[in-house]
Parts: sequence; C-alpha cells; structure tokens
Amino acid sequence: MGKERKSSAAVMSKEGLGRRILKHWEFYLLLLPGILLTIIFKYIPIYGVQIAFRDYNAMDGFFGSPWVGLKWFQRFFGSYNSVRMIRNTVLLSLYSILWTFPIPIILALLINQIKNKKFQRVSQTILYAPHFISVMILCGMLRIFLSPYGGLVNVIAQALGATEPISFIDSASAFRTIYIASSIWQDAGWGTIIYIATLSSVDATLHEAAKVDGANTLQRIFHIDIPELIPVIVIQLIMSFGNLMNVGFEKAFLLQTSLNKETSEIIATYVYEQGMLKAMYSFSTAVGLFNTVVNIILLLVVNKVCKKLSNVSFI
Amino acid sequence: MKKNMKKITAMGLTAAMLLSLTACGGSNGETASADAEQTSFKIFAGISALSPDNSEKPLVKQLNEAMGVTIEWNCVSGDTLTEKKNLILNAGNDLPDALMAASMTDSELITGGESGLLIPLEDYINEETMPNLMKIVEKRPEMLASCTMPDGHIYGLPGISEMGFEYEDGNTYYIGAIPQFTAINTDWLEAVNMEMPTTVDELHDVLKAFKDNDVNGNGDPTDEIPMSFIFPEKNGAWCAGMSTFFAPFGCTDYQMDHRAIENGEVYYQAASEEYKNAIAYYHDWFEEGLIDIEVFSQDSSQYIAKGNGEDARLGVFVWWEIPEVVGAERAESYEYLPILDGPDGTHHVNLNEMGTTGHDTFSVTKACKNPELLLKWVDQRYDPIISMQCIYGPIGTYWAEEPDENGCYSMRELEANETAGELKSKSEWLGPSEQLADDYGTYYYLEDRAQERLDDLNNFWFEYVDSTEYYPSVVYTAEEIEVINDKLSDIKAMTEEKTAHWLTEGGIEDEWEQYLADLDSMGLQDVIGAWQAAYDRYQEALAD
Repeated sequence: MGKERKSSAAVMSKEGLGRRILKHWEFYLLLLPGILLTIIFKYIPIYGVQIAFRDYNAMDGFFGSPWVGLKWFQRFFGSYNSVRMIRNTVLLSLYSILWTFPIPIILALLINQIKNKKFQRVSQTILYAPHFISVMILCGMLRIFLSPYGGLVNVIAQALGATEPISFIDSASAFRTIYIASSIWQDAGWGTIIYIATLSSVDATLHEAAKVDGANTLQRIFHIDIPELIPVIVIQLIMSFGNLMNVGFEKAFLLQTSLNKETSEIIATYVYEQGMLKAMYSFSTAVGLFNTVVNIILLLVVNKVCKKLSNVSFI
Repeated sequence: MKKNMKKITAMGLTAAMLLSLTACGGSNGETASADAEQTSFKIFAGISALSPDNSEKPLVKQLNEAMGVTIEWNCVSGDTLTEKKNLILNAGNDLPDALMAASMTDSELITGGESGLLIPLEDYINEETMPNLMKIVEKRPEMLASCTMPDGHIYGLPGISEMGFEYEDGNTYYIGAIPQFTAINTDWLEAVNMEMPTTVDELHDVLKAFKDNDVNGNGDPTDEIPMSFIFPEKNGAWCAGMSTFFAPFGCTDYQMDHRAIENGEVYYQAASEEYKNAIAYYHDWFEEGLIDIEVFSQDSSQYIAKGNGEDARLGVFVWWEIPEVVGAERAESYEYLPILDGPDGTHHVNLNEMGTTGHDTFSVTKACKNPELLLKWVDQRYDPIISMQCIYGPIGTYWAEEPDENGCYSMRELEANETAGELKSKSEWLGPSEQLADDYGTYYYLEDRAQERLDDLNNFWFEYVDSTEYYPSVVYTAEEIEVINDKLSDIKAMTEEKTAHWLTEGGIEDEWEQYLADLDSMGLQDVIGAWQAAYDRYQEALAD
C-alpha cells in the first residue's frame, strides 16, 4: 500500500500544482468547503492562544490585555501538583493505549472467523451497543456498581468471602483500572469496525490458496489476516498517540473524588477547573498549550518510529 | 451528458455549502440599538434546580405589568451557573442587561466595575427610582456602606436577611451561627443499652456497639452505618460536614475557607494543632469501620436516601435539621448529639461567620440603555410583601390565600408527600430581597423550620459555645481580592485532599510539617495577611 502511494505521487509531481488544479478542477472544488471549514474553525481560532502569554480580561480583549510573558507557565510548573498531573496524564493514556489498543484487533479477527453470517451480525451489534451510552450515564452506572453498599462488585466480592466492603471509587489505586476497564467494555466493539472492514476486503484467493496448501485457521490468521491488517494498525496507533495527552476529560472528571485525586487529577480536569469554574482563562490556556505542545512532539516521534519500522506514515 | 450532470450537481452542492456557511457568519453581527426608552431587558438569572423558568412565574408577570417592561430570561441552575456566568463576564460581547442571583463575587464586581462592564448603581439608589429600597436603608443605614466597593461605587444591589435570635448575653446571633447539627439514633442507644455519650471516647464505644449489633433489627447486622457525614465542599459539606466533631479537640472548622479568628488574630484553622489532633483521632475510627466509607464521594441526595430508606441505617449523622434527612416519622427516633468533650475533658466551639447583608444578587451591565426603568422594576422586590413571595413563593402557592386577623401571612397547610423545603425551592424567585427582623409578625410569620432551628440554637447548641468571636463581613481592597483569588483555591484544594488522605490512610504525624511548609510556599501567609488587613480596617472603622 505504501509503495503504490509513493509511485502515484511521483507521477503527479511531474506537472505543476496549477496545471493539476486546472486539469482536475472539479475535485479541488469539492475539496474547497472542507479546507475552508478547517481554516475557519481550526486555524483562525489559534490566534486566541496568545492569551496564554497575556493577563486576559474581557474589556481589553485578545490583543489589548497586558503581556505577561511566561508568568502562567512558571506558575504551573511551580505548583505543588504539576508533576503529578503530567505523570497522571501520561500514565493514564499510555496504559489506555496498552490495554485498549489490541483488544479490537483480536475481536475483529475472531468475528471474522464466524461462519454463520447472521450470528456474526448479531454479535457485532451487541458489541457496538455500549458505545452509544453517554459518558455521564456510564459514570453513574460505575458509581452504582462499585458502591460499597449493595453495589454489584462488592456483593459478588462478599459472596466470595470478602469481609469488608471496599469503596472502589474512592481508591486512588483502582482509578486507572476502573477507567480503562470501562473504556474497553464501552469502545472495544466499536473499534473493530475498521479492522473488520479491512479483513472483509482481503483477497479470497489468498485464503483458498492457503487452504489448498494445508494451512489451518490459526496459520491463515497469522500469515494472511494479520499482515493485511498491519498498515491499518499502524495508522490507528499513530492516531491514538496523536490523542495521547487528550485523554477523555469528562470521564476522569466525573469519576474524580477527593480521595482518588492522587491518580485521577489530569491536565484536562485541571484546565477545566481553572478555566471554566474559576475564570482563569489565561492560566488554563497556558496549561492547555503546554499539553498540546507535548502532544505534537509525541506524535512526530511516533510517526517517525512507525515509518522506520513498517514504512507507513501520516506526515 | 451524464458527466455534465455530475459536475452540475457537485457545483450546486458546493455552492449550497458555501451559502450556508456565510449565512451562519451573518447572524452574529447583531448589535444593540441605543434606546433610552428601552422597555425590554435581557437578564441572566440563577434559579434553583427544582424551579421553573422565571418567565413562567406569576410574580414575575405581575412585576413586569406594573412597570410595563418585558424581560427575556436566560435562567441557569446548579453547577453550570458559575461556568455560564464566567463566560458572560469574559466574552465581552452579547452581554445581558443585568445579572440576577448569579452569586457575583467581590472580585467580579470590582474587576467588572473597573473595566466598565458593570455600571455603578449608587446614583439610582434614591427616593425617586428605588423608594422601597430607601425605606430599608432608612432603617439600616449601614447597609449601603457594606455594599460599596473599595473604589467608592456600588456594583451590586444590597440584599438583607435578618433571621436571628437574641441570646442571653444580649447579642443577636443569626441562623448560620452553627451550621452543622449532629444527631444520634436514640432507639439504637436503647437497643444496645447505652447512655447518651458525653465524650468522644464514649461515642466511640457507642458506635462500635452500633456496628457490631443488628440494632435496626432487620436481621442484617452489616447494613448499619454507625456515623456518616459529607466531606467534599462541592457535595454539601457546609451543613453536613464533620466540623462539629472537631469541637472535642479544640476547634470547629465551620467556615468553608477554614478562616477563624481569636482575640482579633485571623488564622487558618486547617493549619492548627487542634485540627491535626482531630484528624489523627478520627483516622482510627475509619480504620475500625465506624465511619461511612462513602463520605468522600456521596452527595446530599445519596446521603438523604440513606436516611430515608426502608430501614433506619444511620446511627449518627450531621445536617441542619433532623427530619429532612430521615423523614418526619423516623425523626422521632433521633435526638441531637450534644457537643462532646475531648480526651482532655474539654471542648471548644467557635461560631461560623455570620452576615445579614449581601450584594451579589443584582448587577447591571453597560449593555443596559435604560437602567432607571430596570432598577425601578427591581425595586418592587424590596417591598416586604413582594419580598416575602420572592423568597418563599407566591401567596396561594406557598403562603395561605388570606392573612390572619393580625394581617400576617402564614404558610399554607402542606399536603401529604409535600415538604416545606421542596415547596420553597419550586416556587421561590431568587434575587435581591429584604427580610428584616421586624417583618416577622408584621407582614408574615417566620418559617416554622427556621423558627425551630433558631430555638434549637438558643436552647441547646449555644450552651456549648466557648467563643462568640467571628470574622465579620468585611470589604477587601482590589489588591487583597487579587491575592485571595489567586492563591486560596489551590490552598483549599490541597487541604481537602490531604485531609481526606489522612483520615483514610493516616500518616498525619509524619506529613504535617511538610504540609505546613507547602501551605506557606503556596502563599497561605499572604492570604491570611489580606484577611487580617481587611479585618483591622473594619475594626478601625467601627471605632470611629
């Protein structure tokens, strides 16, 4: 796939950009609204980032507020919980990728092996369903299931011989497990879509040829299905690293209590508290900007590594 | 031909997209017209969660008709209020004409006034524009001073609520003096055959007995919760916190900023030796399972659900009254748990801060072209009978249809399944109001629940009070507000988190010194300095 893309790009670059646009102007016209939308809603608002270096107030606006340089960044790195917040953010995302990334792939390979098409469709639908539950409701469910009084998990634990109920939601050490396990339950099924689509487009003759050669199911998965999936897996991996520092803020915020802050306070929840609740817009913009810069660096590194290892890249 | 069709469709689609895009951009350019005869106002207003939109309230319609104005309401309740208000105050465009019941902080009033976002209101506070308010100012002349900001202007209209009692020392104390009442289940005490505890150690033994026995008699010895309260401030700790239990160790940390005062010295209670001893002591109770393990995550609705369930489950709990948590019927089984003596045989109760006036409920922005009419309209709320209906609910809905022979309104009979608290929050209309001590018995009778609470304070709780000194409602300078605003929230967040950690995990002895050092490096001394300076100015002004 990577090779094909390169060769077609090479053919194209023989002509100048202007000529190409003239030749295929219909396509470029179709592209225009998308580009405009991106510029208007994604690029133009970036000018607001400058308030990270200003002491923003509404009357002087974005350009008139006094310039304070790196004051907000100094404040962030000087605060007692900044190191903890960065660590929590990185660890939560790394663990999330580590645990949630492989599961949709395995699920997709399994579903692909189901011979009965009707059963396949039904099980897919059942797996997708949790994706449509809103985070708010999911967190409410988690709080009920994990409640020390009559919560499902504690009832089962007690039936198995535990003596004291445990308030999991207040436990700093349980936070990441709760967060990630519920993400797997909610999104693993949804994540299979792109892999199943790829698997269904695998050339059937490959499988037939392998069967003739006497390959069993497992061998066909390892030697046909997985290699076909690799480019998609790499792109998915780069994309999830692209969002590494943007871990789901709502869920962390809704599951936060004063006891689990040790692990649940992440940059995103802090930005929300400082910005939206305390109206310290400049400070929270600075913290958010720091978050984004780290994220971009990570994305570039991962992209580079993937390119080296498998010759698939984005940028 | 077919190819051309495709092209045309594509172009058409693109054009449609572009058009809709520009259409979106166009609608933002609306500008407010300069109109001195403006009779239609936009108001951003806070409402209680149970209440309908202000536009649906009969009282609002009545006041609108009386002044010939129309109001476009933007009503917000609960957690989102702060968020929405911040956006309005910081966006700089699309301002409402006024903010009502939006809990404006002093910092917002000062910065808003400085930048010209909020307009000064003192010129309108006169006989002609605000006759009802002037009547109250005549009776309470100090009221205007308390809402004047350091720059000499008034940006928030005053409100006053005097709900107090005269104690035997001759001073008047207000309803929030002790916000957290502790209660104990006396049926359970009987069931385990024990006396009402008078010291913390006795309470410990009682709670242990509650935990080990099936005191509610439902056959399950594990569903009893010996003691519960609410820990996080955001979940409702102001009336359900554990501060009353600190009294045996020498402090009652009622104030949410942990601010207290002794002999004119302001200090941070959560950095005191007494606080440390109390937390260290109650850690053992957590270890033994005497305290509800949900205190750090439950909110008031979960808390009340525990009290109201099928079987009695709470041994000792904290609230500002008993029936609201356990229901009127079960309340018979509970009595107030008195202030306990500590390991050294003493206790120390100090009071919460009390103020009767506020200035956070009505501010006018520069978008308003006719402040005179708007203030005339809002002035109607300072009429005692209108005020009464704003605070509680309309006549016929909350109050009885007709006043009694003294010309006083009292609350109507409640139907089954109704509670006074719920009825009030459904029918009240938040905003500036007046409630003077002489209104009771002249226009209406004090709410039963409030009267009961004042009696409880007077007859029961005040006999334990050791110090009646409290931090008054002071006025800060702009610099002091900036210092407090900048530092206090992080300081409080650390205190809350550390205290929760020490209560459950322990370790306060080892970590205390580090905690004090961290507090100082976060600027605690600057905050205390600002509090102290404002207090000293207040005292000087009193002396003059």
